[in-house]
Amino acid sequence: MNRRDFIRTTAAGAAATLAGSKLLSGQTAAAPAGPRPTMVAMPICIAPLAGPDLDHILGDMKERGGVTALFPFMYSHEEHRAGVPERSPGFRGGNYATPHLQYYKGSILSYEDMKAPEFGGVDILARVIPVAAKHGIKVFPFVLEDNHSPAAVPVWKKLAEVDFNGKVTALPCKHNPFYRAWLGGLVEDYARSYEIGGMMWGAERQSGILNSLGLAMGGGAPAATCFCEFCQKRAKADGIDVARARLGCGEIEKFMKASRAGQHPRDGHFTTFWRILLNYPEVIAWENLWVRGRHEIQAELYQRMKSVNPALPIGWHIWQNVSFSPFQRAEEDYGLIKQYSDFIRPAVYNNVAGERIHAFANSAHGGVFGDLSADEALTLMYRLLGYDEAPYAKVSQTGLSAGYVERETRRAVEGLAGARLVEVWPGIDIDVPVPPGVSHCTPEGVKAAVKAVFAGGGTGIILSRNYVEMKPENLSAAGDALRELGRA
Amino acid sequence: MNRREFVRLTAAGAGAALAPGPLLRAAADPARPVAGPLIGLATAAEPLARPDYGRLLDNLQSRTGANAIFPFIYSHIAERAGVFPANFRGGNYAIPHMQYYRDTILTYEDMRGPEFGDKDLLALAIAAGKPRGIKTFAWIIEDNRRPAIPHWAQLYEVDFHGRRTDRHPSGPCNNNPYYRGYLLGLVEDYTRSYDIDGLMWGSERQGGLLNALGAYHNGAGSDPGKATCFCEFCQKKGRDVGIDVERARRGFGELEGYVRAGRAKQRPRDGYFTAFWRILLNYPELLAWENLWVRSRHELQAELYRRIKSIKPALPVGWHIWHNVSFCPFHRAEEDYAGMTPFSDFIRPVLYSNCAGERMRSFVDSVHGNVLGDLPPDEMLEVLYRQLNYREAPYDRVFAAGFSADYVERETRRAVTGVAGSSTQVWPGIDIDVPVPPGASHCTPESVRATVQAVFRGGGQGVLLSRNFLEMKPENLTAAGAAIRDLGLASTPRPI
Repeated sequence: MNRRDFIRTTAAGAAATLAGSKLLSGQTAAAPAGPRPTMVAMPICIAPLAGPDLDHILGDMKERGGVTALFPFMYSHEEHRAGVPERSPGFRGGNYATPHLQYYKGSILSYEDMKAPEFGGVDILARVIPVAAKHGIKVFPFVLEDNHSPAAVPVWKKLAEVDFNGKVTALPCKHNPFYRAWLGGLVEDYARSYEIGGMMWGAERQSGILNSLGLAMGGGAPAATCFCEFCQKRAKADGIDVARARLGCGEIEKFMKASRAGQHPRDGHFTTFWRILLNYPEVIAWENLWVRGRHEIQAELYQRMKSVNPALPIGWHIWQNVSFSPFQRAEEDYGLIKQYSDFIRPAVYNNVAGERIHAFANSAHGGVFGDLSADEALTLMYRLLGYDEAPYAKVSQTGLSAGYVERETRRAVEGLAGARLVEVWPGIDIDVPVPPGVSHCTPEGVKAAVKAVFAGGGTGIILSRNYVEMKPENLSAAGDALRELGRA
Repeated sequence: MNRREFVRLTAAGAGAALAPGPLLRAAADPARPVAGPLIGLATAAEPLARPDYGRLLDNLQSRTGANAIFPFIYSHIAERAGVFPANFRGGNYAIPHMQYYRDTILTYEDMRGPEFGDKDLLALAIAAGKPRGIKTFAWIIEDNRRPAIPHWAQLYEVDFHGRRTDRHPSGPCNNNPYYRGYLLGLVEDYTRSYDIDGLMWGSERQGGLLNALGAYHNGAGSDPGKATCFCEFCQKKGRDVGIDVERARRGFGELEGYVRAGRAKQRPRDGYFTAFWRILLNYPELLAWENLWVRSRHELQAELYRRIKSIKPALPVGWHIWHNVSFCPFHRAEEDYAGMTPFSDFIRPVLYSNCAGERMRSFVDSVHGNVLGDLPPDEMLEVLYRQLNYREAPYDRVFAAGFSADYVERETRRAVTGVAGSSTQVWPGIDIDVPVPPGASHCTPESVRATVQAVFRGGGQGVLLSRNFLEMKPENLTAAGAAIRDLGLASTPRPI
């Protein structure tokens, strides 16, 4: 589908460029019959689900936290999502369910490329579903894109983005047909092969342009993506001058290198940044191309799921970077996402957000906002994002407040408002790991965050980010808050 | 010339997309600016018509050390003519020689300024200046209102709704062949028909994207629905370089809605800045259209330069730089001094420090309802100061305080650094009693002295006492002269 075709299928207005098609927006999940219990979900890594304590674990989370849904990291090549120690010898990861190859026809990944050999090759999804059902807990496979390429599966490199210098990177490209075929196949496989309660997908990514500008809590990546053959082809079809986009990315790279070397541009950082955009509008066109690819793939996944079972909910994890970057916030337009979503889960981890937004300010200060000191850059971000939080010198130690959780929940609820209910299930912070010296979750803080979700209009909650990371007293505090609210 | 051809003519690098090419640079080499510091004085046309203009020059020379006069020689604005009859018309206060205007639709009557009868003010000025060693630069600045002369309408920009514009922030279209024909004819006429010592052209404008945001001083009341230019010539040029005209138009429509909502105090759900960035993200054609506008402006300047150099290679040609680059980091990006050097013998950045106070505040108020509307005005001003590298008075005081001489020095140095490596000279225009609204600060002899000194501390190779002789208090003009003499830069009057 080229851009013009894509636009033709969308509603008019600003949203049209990135929106899903009318076909998608018209195809909605079946309305639930009668009042439903509040969604109280729990993500979890795989190891506990493979062990002998599964029943006990499910009982514990039900009793302490009032959990009604389990979100296992069902496909990952990362150790911490598997629940094994980092750098475990021979670790491979992959799909902890069983790949049914009839659903993966357009992909180049083999069964061996996908199937995780850990835990004896047991089908964890098949194992968990009936046990969870006994506890009244539904299972939503949670597929979260990995942050690195699986070294043990070389074929993944063929799915990866290519930077503007032609270098293959670690992460998959949304315009790569093999990646799309694999991911669409995975959704269909889970939907057809298992009695799942729904599914959530996430990719903690943003456009390569924003990465190259360091506008990310992790600092971004030096070279903008994606210039793979598929992206180039798509860009040409859309009338974007690929060579000039590449030149523009080169200018950004030079700007960032100079900024990070402490050089102040003659006309200021912001003016220089804007001048690059002015001289190379193709850079923004390339950002649009990337974001469009992401939204399209989500729309495709939605469509795929609905083609199997219209009543099965599918939704999206929203990377916490939208809480820090006004630029990425623009890319994640809830007004568009609602067309192909049954629910969203914005990550609003308020405790860890302190050190994360501190890191974001440091990174932004090394580029676009280099005219400001880091503390001034943070104050500016607070204004642009609508926050009232601790200053730069303190925010790592204090974290962000429950007020942040409420604001971001409300923003999502308002953004998704429309004729059809799209549920907002924010992911709240229960002991998300932090570096030494920064704030930690407390029962009081967790309670406040849970209450903030519902004060902000959330229709459910995802206790996050991983059951095995949570202190029992903090999980219990979440449950207490839910019980006080009559939501358990 | 389409964009690809234009780019091919340029060097690689960030400036390439807007910079002129070697063809233009080649023409620049034979002539380079004025020897010694240029001490210029800008003036309305009226003093040139006085019978005692020669004596006025003597007075000005001894008072200020000026060695050049910059009269507003073509304008349909009464303040620039310096006379205010009820039926004011304005125009060219020299004589249009029609053989140079074959490529325009303007007639002799459309152009010729009738206010001073048969007098050819440019000829008179030159005749009086030459024996005194005072140069005369023809100074042409685009008017802020369309003349009430029917032919002019056809030269003006068209907004994205398809309506012909008639005033600032729009103006004549840089891609309109009749406007180009007129302007190129005018500079050729002045160059061939008069023994001028140089020429300065200026256009206090920016691209339609920034205009839609009201991103200029006094922009709070601007109409975001009048962003330009979508005339037939711009549309063709846009299509030729691969821009989707209809999507650009739709992008401006989104921007219009965004600005109107902001002015109605409707904060976007995701914040003003995010909403702005989202419009750019959804419609990259907006930036492409801005690029088209800016590129066309620079192309026109390069053409003017080339036309003059083809006649008199030694004649200095330069550009007035709108004051808005001092306030708006976005517009500053459009006026890339380094990119201008191939077609510039000199530049005259407007650094009116006194009125900058109220103008800066006005700029903040103008964009507060949109791109930086997430910040209260006082915080927004501090952010802008950081981005622009200023240390000036806070929001609640800047209107009454004005800007300091330090601003003049910083902006002069930025310009000098920007043109470094070329022979382009920097002659800042300094503030001597530029009119201000009630309650704003006023120039003083001390402030004028300080700003003159700041220009040369910042590396300026000349100064233009601005903006209009008729506005200046004698004591402030004298103070400028005292500073120039203190610096040893005053010209020596020649006996007549």
